[in-house]
Amino acid sequence: MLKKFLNQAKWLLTKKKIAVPRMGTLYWLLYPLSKRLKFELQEQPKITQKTVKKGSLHAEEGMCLPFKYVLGNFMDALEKGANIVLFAGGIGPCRFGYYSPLFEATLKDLGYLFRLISIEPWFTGRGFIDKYRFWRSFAKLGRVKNPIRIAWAIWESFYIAQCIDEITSMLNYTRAIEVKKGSTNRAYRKALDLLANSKHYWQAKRNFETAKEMMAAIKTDASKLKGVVGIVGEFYVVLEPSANMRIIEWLNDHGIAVICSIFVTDWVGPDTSPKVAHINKIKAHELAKKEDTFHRWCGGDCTANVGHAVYLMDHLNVDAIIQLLPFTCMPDTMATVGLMAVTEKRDIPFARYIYDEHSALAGLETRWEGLIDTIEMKRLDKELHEIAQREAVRSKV
Amino acid sequence: MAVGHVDFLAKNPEVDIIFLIRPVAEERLELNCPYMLGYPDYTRMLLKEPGRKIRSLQVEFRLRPGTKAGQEIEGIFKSEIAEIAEIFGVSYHLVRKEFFEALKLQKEHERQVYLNKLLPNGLEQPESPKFRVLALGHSYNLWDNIMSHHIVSKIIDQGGHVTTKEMLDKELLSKCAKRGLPKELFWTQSKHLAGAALQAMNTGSVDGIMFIQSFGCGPDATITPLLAREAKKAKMPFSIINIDVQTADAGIDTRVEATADALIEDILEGRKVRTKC
Repeated sequence: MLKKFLNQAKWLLTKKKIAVPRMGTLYWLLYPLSKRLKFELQEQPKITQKTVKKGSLHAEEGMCLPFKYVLGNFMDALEKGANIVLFAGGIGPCRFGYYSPLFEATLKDLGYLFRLISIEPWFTGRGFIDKYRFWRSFAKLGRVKNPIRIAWAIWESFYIAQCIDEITSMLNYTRAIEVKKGSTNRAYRKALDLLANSKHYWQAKRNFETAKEMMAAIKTDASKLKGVVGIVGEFYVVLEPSANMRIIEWLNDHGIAVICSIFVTDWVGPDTSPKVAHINKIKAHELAKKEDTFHRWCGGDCTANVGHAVYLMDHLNVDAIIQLLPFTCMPDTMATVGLMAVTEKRDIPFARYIYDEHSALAGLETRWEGLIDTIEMKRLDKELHEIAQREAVRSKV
Repeated sequence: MAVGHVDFLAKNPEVDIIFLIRPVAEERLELNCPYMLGYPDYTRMLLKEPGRKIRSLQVEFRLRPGTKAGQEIEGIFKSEIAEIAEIFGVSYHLVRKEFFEALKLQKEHERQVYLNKLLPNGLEQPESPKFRVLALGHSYNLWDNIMSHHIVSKIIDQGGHVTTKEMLDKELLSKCAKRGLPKELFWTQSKHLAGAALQAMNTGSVDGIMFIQSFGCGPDATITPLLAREAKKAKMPFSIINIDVQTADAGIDTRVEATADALIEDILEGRKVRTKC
């Protein structure tokens, strides 16, 4: 009892440092917010093989990959001096909504001194209590308590993160056709710094224009492009490069441009807001319905994935569709059949890569190479077919 | 398993329509797991049925806006009854009458189970039980012999008294789950499972808990670590048995035997006072 009390006192006396899980550009959503709400954000530790081992050691066997990654990441962060952990909640049928109590229980068993703040969505159907809880989780973070100031800060940092995601989507395309290797990454880094440090909305708007110009100024060679690939799937594995074994970078290095179907702000923001990935969830669901795949919503991004794949194939002319998902993910296991049906109809290659804590780069690389070969062969077939048609016409004349 | 069964039915020329029920929710602010929500569409696409034979029926158990408290069930199933009547081309009232008769039978069956009189597949409790076990698991697993590999009969063979979650009061279970867990669960069945386990831990009405979990089941994987932690605190034996496509009967045999031996030893050594049921 005394030990517990002393621990609590020790926690209260230490300087508060907040850790967020590593997930793509999520840090750049919270960095502007930390400046506005005046709290200290800890620099994120990198995810290494050790982190994954740690996480999967203490997590339940049947939990999905994001849980294990984030658990390991939190443990690293807490060891490095953070004492508040920030995570999101949920209500959906996906287990993501029940992650935060599980994190709290596991980390407390391991003897860490910390508190967990879970940001629950403000539309769970409990009326005013939801809004209150939403405000309180933000008010706990820093010194700012005024709800209007908090709302403005959230909106501003959300806008900045959206700009960053827009730049990221440009990066995924231009990196495939750059002339000088590494020039895109350098420009992206500069643009990120410029955007994240913008002080208010109007400055962010101006910075976004300059960042766009910076990305457009990179020397490119369009003849390098071997194909365009659309990526759909579970958000964590798509967004976090260390979770998907840097598939986007690898594909870009081999001359294949990538169009993602989900970005951090698309996932964090409300369903009806404008998205970086062209269409929102509701429209995607309608597209999936039209294709006679999923008539009803079934949790998570299941139907949205099918709709996004349809949009990518019909409007953006991708050469192949890739689905990335963690092992035992519930909604995406259902989505696979829908994606198979949709891609079969249009005769477009479809690849599905399942990740878990044992997956290694060597095994995945061979499969990615196989996909590239398929795309190239398909293109050759098309060209040969066109030549044959032309000659048939000439012989008739 | 369900897909295989539907495939078998679809190949049968005598079958005209297959109903796949899609249970959305059982209570307010709750949903079932994604597998259940998507399973009619999933099966239809996997078997490449043109949609003629397989029909899906959406069932929501929760109260819809506009229904009064007195006529709950009638209000809840109005649209479903209308759908069935439309498919078969019969009148709405006929379907409604038949439905209520079926409901009466179902309620009688549930009451029998609740009064401890019925066990899955007509089994009977042993006359002088050596130990008492709370067998937890989704009802589609536990009440099916092939799915659960005869696990209930195996426990009874070892001389155990079996309690399932259907034999307990539903409202009490959700109350227990609400009190014992850090956050409200949004899957109804898992909530009842967790509530049953927590209630057993609090009252000590059983000697041990066996959790029968199908491999890859998300909700179960989420609640088992929390329940195992609570069991450790309450000093209640807690074993998890995983069921898979490749699971053999012999594997289940040894696991059940080991659990039974451990529980009997516990009782003999007096580590836990056997409570009256």
